[in-house]
Amino acid sequence: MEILKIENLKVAIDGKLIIKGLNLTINSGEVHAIMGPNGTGKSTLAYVLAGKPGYEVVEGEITFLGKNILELEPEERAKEGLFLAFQYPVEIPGVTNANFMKTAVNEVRKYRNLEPLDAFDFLQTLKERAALVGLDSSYLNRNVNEGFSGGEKKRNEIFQLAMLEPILAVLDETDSGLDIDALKIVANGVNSLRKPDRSFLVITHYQRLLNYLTPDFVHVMYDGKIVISGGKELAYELEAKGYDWLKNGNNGLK
Amino acid sequence: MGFIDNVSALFEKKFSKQICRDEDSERLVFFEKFKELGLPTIKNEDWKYTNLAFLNEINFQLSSCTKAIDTGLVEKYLSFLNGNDKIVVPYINNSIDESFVKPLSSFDYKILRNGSFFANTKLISKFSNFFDSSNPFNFLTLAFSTDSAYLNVNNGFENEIPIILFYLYDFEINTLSNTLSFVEVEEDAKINIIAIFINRSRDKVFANEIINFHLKRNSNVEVNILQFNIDNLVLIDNFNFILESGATLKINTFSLNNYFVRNNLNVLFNEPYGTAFLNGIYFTADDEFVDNHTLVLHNQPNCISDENFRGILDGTGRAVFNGKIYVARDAQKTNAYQSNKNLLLSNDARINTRPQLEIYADDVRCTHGATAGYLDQEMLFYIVSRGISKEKAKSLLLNSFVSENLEKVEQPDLRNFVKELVAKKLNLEDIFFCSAIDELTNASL
Ligand SMILES: Nc1ncnc2c1ncn2[C@@H]1O[C@H](COP(=O)(O)OP(=O)(O)OP(=O)(O)O)[C@@H](O)[C@H]1O
Ligand SMILES: [Mg+2]
Repeated sequence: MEILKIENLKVAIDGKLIIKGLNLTINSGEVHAIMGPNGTGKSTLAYVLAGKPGYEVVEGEITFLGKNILELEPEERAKEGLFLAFQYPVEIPGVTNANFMKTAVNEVRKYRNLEPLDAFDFLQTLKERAALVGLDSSYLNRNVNEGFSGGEKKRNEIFQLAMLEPILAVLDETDSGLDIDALKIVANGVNSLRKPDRSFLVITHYQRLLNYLTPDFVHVMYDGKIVISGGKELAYELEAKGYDWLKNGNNGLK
Repeated sequence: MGFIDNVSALFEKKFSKQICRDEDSERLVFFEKFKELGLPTIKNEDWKYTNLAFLNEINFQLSSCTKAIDTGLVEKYLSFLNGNDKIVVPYINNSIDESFVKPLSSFDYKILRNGSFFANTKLISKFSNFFDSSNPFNFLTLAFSTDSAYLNVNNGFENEIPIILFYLYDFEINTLSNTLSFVEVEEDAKINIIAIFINRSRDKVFANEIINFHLKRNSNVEVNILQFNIDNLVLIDNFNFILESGATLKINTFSLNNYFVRNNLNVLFNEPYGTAFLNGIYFTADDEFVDNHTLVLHNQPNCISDENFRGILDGTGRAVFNGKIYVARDAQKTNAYQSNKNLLLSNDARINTRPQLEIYADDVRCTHGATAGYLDQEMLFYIVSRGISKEKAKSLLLNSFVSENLEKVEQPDLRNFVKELVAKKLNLEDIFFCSAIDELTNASL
């Protein structure tokens, strides 16, 4: 089943075109990776999907579960089942992780016509899912990301992913800033969240995350477009040859 | 008719006929002084952003017959204490209702009826130490003062039981209210005060209340000032504090729903090594006005003052923060901090914030800062990206903006109560209060 379809997407920030005609289709259960040099528009794509204000869609369409998500508010997109793990998670002082997730989960459940979770079950779920990414329960009572280390913030993103149970999860450089052990924990956490009805779009610079996650497809983004797509071997090739290989007009760039 | 004419006529009628009484001649002196200073205008630096001209349009009376208030009502307002012990000093419609007062063992508690304060020379001389003779309303309060409460907290008294200064206004006409209170806290004593202002009148009440605290050596006083649901009340409260060596004062103001409030918070370090924290939260919505006017006088060395006021202004709401810090030449090693932060939720909301520093000592650490801004868009987006509505996301951020000051309340029942009041105001009760999740997470972690 088709989950996400992006057609000829062009996005501008402050009048400057950043994404310049991007096409991508993701089906249920698939894991797609997007790689590409700094500044080519990977995070821009992630933000446009999530609905961040300030991004102007100049052309093109994005369909999520058959709906035009460009017409939906960010919170509606999340309720429909879209999740973005931020490249730079934001600190929210004065709001505990537990309260944040309680509010979010209940709003999402309400939207999906599900009963609110009872307090005890919810607490169990919180602890379980935090443990999944190696965060002990003390993090639940801390304010969202406040004073968290870079790695802890990334784990907290995956914890939230686990709580919100999305249909499509977009991971924007979740692996950067993680040490080798943390990478293993987070990757295993993500792996355990893989399901036939859950898809992933993983933005990364490194092969190492993909070693754990094994993507079905790898796309290379360059100057606002996907310039080459392939299987997981493409990531190895890229790692071996570097992006200059693309710039030199080889392969998919014809 | 004008406010001055209005109160002159009231004064004439009430006191002038019996001017032979000593106390009434005292009153006359104070009243003349009030007239001399007059109703402050915005040309007066202390009232620059606080226009009182509207008082000229209201015809005030003095309360003649007082409605009977039953104890049940007071209990209802204090139900947030969950029936726990408390000491209540009830200023019901301008007079202290003795029927509420429980016997107090660790206290010397006097009620000075109807002006008998003027006969008490010892108190008068104590009072003069606090007196800000540039504030005309201090004279007005003295001229009209009805009952006064005098509390003396014994040496070393230390108790969690809060002392409630309970101001309830329930008049049937536009009315003036003027009372004086004294709290003398002896050495090493520790007390917790909650001052609550509640208005049930449908007409305007103009209340000028003076509350003086004398903190003797090493005493520790927390004063929480609660102002919510006081429509129609024009309140000018004057909390004056004198601190001796080693004394610690903590003030928390909560101005949550007000017609017109002016909090005058005056702190005087009369001896070295005193500490004072002044914290406040204020919300203003359409047509609401809150003015926090603080004065910290560092007359002695080695004292610390730390002020932190936060405001959320919506609709056509207006607020003023004026924080004056004075450091005398000999007050070396003073630490004085001041911060006032504001969030504006509408284009029509207004805040006037003004730090005033007068520093004559050279070995001083003094910082101040004031901000007025809008909600952080990055934070807002992060929250809504998790499926939380924009309204709720805003509320979470607003709650977070004031949460630090909410946590500063020491008395647990009161802390929960103010947190709940703020949560209700922000429509967040379901998150913070309707489920056992907080207790569960706290208990099981
Ligand atoms: N708010 C903004 N205003 C102006 N330019 C912006 C803004 N946000 C992004 N850009 C520009 O858009 C381009 C793409 O940025 P984006 O963050 O999407 O890159 P990226 O592929 O995620 O890079 P990285 O690998 O470094 O994370 C960059 O040139 C960046 O400077
Ligand atoms: Mg990026």
